[in-house]
Amino acid sequence: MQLSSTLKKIQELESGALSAEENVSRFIEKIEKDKYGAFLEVYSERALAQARKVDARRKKGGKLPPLAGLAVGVKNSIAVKGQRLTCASKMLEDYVAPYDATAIERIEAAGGVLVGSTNLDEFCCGSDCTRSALAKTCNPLDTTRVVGGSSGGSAAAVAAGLCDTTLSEDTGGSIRCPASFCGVTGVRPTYGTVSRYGVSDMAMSFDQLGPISSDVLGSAALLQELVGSDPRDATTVAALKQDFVSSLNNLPNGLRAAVPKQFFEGCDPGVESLVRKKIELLESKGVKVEEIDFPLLSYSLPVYYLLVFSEFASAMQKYDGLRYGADWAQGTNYNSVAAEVRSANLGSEVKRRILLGTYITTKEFRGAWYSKTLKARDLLRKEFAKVFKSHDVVLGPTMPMTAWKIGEKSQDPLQMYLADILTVPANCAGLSGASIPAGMHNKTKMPVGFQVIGKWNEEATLLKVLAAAED
Amino acid sequence: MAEVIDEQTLERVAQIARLKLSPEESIALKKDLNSLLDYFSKINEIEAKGEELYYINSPKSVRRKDEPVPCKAAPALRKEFAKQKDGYLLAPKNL
Repeated sequence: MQLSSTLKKIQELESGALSAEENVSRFIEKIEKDKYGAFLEVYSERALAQARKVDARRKKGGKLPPLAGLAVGVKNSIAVKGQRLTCASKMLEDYVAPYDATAIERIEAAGGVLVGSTNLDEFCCGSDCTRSALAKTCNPLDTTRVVGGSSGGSAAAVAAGLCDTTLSEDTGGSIRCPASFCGVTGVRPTYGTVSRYGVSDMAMSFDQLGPISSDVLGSAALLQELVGSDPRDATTVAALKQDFVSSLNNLPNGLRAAVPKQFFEGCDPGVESLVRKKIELLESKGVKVEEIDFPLLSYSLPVYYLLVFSEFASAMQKYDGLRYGADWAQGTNYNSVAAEVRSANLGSEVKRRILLGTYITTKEFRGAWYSKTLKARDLLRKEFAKVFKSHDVVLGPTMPMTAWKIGEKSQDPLQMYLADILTVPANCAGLSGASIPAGMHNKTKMPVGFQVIGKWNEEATLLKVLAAAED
Repeated sequence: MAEVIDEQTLERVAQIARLKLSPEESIALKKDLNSLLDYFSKINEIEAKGEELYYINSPKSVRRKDEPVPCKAAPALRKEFAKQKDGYLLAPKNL
């Protein structure tokens, strides 16, 4: 097995062969020359101060915390005190976060060094990172192609070697899609596993933080520091802290995997063939694989989008011009101030989603759309529960295709939404899901992602399956 | 394709959403919204009689101790408002 690049880095930092300051300085230098638009801002001062703290601790001879000196990029929808929190929108272009998100506090407590903020689709609304109002991000493996979204900057940063790992966020595939398109690893944990305090919400019942890293070990190392309940986020579950890293290579005997046949309907043949090879690899390691029929899966996309529109429209109401830097003239009316500020500063995709969400939650249409969709979501969750009664994981492709050309799907929102068809099922049910590289597509020569969906709160098993499928 | 959102509906929804749309935006958005809702009407194929699932993992209400906790970020949060007077945050009239 190839030595994990993260493991190698952790060992170098532990032994002092590489100081945290050297590690971080090298990355900062690289980020400043970033050709791919991965980063929006570099946190030079904060990063170097934190790195020096780690080095001082090593000199004292004490045991170093688990992420000591690792350079971490942060999706710019997560609050880092004193740094701009833009959500890649003109609405928040100059907004400075007044506090740290819980996840940020936990990364720094574990010795991780935040090196900068990464680009995203505006307010996470997109699947290819072309909807950022502040920067253009391209795929480091082919700069004419998209990077995936919405956490596109994070995946590009890892793929281009601009940091060791990243903290990202996944509402409907925003970690797994860019991980798949850039040939890196992304893990979205079970809903409620990681605190969302300090995260700019897109859809509160779907959003979840997780890592995008160069390998499974990197993801496991970051994730194990993030999990745990938080009194400031009532949706967090009181999961016990677990050591994901040391048990990573102990694949339990007799694991059972389900492969829904619907996952391959409409899937590119080149993608299917590489994903099937990964499934065979797991079979060769003792995983019992069974193809299943899961007809409800095709309803995940409407369920996901209709609920996300509704929650998003509600979440966006706070951007009304009274806060976040906007000003208004004396004697004006609240509604006109809000309409002026919102219309001038929000992008077209954000407006489209706000309007749809507002429409389907109005009193007269709520029953026909919103209420019905919430019930359908419950059916999906129950169907997944049935699958997980007799299986430990669900396997399939992450995306039905490889990264498309920049601009190819920008004109037709439905085509963009359809690309999410394989990632949104996990989010509808609040499940964990991850993507690891499955190889390069024979025609497009771009990476293909292999998706593993895990049971609720069974991240340890999910990570073991990923590690077994990695080599 | 049925047009569920006509011009009047779009105008009313935009007003509720506090968005001012230009004539060009309205034409493009009406087309997009109708096309998307047409696709998403697939949801009607499901006979969903279950419960409305708002949250995936919180069947019980989570309570915390009713104790005052200092909010260190309060001064910084106040600064986010463009106008303040005598310790109050100012907002435009809403009448």
